[in-house]
Amino acid sequence: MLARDYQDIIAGAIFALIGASVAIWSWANYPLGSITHMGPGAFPAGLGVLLMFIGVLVMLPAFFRAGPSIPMPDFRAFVFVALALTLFSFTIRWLGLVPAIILVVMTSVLADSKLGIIGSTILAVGLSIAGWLIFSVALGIPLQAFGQVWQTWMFWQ
Amino acid sequence: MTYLGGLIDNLSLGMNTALSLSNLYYCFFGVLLGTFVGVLPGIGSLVALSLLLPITFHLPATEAIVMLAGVYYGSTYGGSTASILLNLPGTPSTAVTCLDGYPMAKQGRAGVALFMTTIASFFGATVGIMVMTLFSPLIVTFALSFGPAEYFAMMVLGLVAASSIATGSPAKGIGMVVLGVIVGLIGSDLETGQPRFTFGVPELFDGVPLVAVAMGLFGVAEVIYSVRVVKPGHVDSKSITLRSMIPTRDDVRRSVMPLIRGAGFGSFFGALPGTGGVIASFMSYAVEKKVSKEPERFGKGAIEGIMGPESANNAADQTAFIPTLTLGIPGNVVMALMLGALTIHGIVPGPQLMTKEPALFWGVLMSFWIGNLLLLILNIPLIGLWVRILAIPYHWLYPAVLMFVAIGVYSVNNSPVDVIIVMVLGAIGYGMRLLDMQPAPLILGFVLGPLMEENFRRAMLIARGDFLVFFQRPISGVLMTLTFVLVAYVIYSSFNQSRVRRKAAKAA
Repeated sequence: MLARDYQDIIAGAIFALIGASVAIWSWANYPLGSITHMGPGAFPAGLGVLLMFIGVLVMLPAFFRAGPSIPMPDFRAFVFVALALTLFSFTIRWLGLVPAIILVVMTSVLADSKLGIIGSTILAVGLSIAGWLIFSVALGIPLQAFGQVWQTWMFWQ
Repeated sequence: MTYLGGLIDNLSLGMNTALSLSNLYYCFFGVLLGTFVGVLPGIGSLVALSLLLPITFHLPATEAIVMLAGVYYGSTYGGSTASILLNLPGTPSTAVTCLDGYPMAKQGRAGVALFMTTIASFFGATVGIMVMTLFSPLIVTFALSFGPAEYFAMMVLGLVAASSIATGSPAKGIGMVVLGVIVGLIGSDLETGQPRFTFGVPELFDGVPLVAVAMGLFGVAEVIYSVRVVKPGHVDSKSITLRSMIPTRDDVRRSVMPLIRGAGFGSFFGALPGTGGVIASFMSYAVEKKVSKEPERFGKGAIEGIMGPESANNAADQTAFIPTLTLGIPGNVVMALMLGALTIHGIVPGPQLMTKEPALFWGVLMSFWIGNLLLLILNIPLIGLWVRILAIPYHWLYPAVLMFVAIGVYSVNNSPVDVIIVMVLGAIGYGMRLLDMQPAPLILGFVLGPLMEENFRRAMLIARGDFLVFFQRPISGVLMTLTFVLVAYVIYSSFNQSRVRRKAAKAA
């Protein structure tokens, strides 16, 4: 019997593992209280045990049946999307909103090669203007279009 | 008489609120965006709602809910456009519309199909709104007598129903709900202030923010998953003219009864937790096929096959607000996000909402009506515009989604770290997606988690630790019995499923 539903086996194992850790952690660290005056640990401990059982329930039958194969992760999409958000996080303060949006767009288009350099540039410029108009102008959220670095530079000029 | 008199006062209060300039504006923006994302393949109302959540921080509560609701029911209008023209459902609840809508389009009757589904949507929504107007006050009067045991039982039933009926694997769905409840408990304990599962990170003391979870799971994970999957559609936009939209006398005659029946199904299933538009539209289609004198026409462009479901899913969109706004129990994940938006504004959902915030409740309700009128205008004369939008490829769209995620999350606390948190949640969400673990039940559990714990502890305190309290009180007893029946079914089906699959594997 090689046919197994690996999707459900892994999912069930994750449930069971999280459930067990939550139950043990809350039992060990938070007061359980009594049943009438439940402490902070009681409800999560109960949930942990419940999740553990559900995990087993998901996992056990999956050993005895064929299942869909787990799709290959799209690493390229994942890496560039993650990179785009990381770059935004690191640049929003010191470069400001407009450059950060341009970075997000120029990085995220690499997740998929369909948009060429010209298309990407148009999209980056368009979205940075749109982003600034929507969030800064229309919604009045205090976001600087250009951040600290540019102000310092202007100051020294 | 006082019931009716009070209703008229409330409706006029609602009208006044809904007709204020800012509410009109956000209603229009909501339905416009809703139609837009409904039409676009690859971006659904959930993604749009997650992206809008941080914006609601900067709006008053009524405006926020009016806008989010507009996106929700607007996307059902837009979804049918994609179903008819591309055979791709724009939203799950318009999937059935493909069955007869696409054949109609192939026969050159796309204009008629688009026109008639818009009328069906409007009719269904109107019935749904009327049902909500008439029944909500009654439910609230009834619900005011609910104690913590009833609330707990209702939330359990709602969560079990929502996660086990609509998803492919009920046991996994319930697992995701429990996981969501656990994630919802992260932060300080409400009664003792004891920090739980915070691991010394001070940012987690107030709990994991809903915005981060919703954006990570629905925004980022969805983008990673869809980047190289979603294909744009190609439609000849010139063929759809206003003239081509005029239905024949026969079309109109065939549509009347499906419309009425569909609205009935939709109103009923929409208000039940866990069912909603998807099931209502499927039911409506099945019934229309059954009662039809010529069932062989179905699947080949029968107009009854689009009118019933479209009326049903829009009615369900409206009545889904009944449990959310009267009881504080969301029946599906979109409603959980609405509830989250209310909580962000410090409004406690539940039966007291209608008496404490009458302008919000009735204003939102009346805005549904205005929103549906706006949708009628947006979808009939402007249909040519939406047809062109259908052809926008996903690679032009997803960088914009990511931009909204990044700015939206950052703007809530002006914190760059929050963007990283969302990215990590997105990565986790993508992993779950690969294992077919649905994020929607997790969000439902996450929103209801703290409420469930509070009510459970209170119920135990009142009943002096007697677990049987959930079964001894009549209402909660019925609810708990229903839950147990559902759970038994889930356990049965999870084993049965493996037997069926094994048989299939043997046969192959």
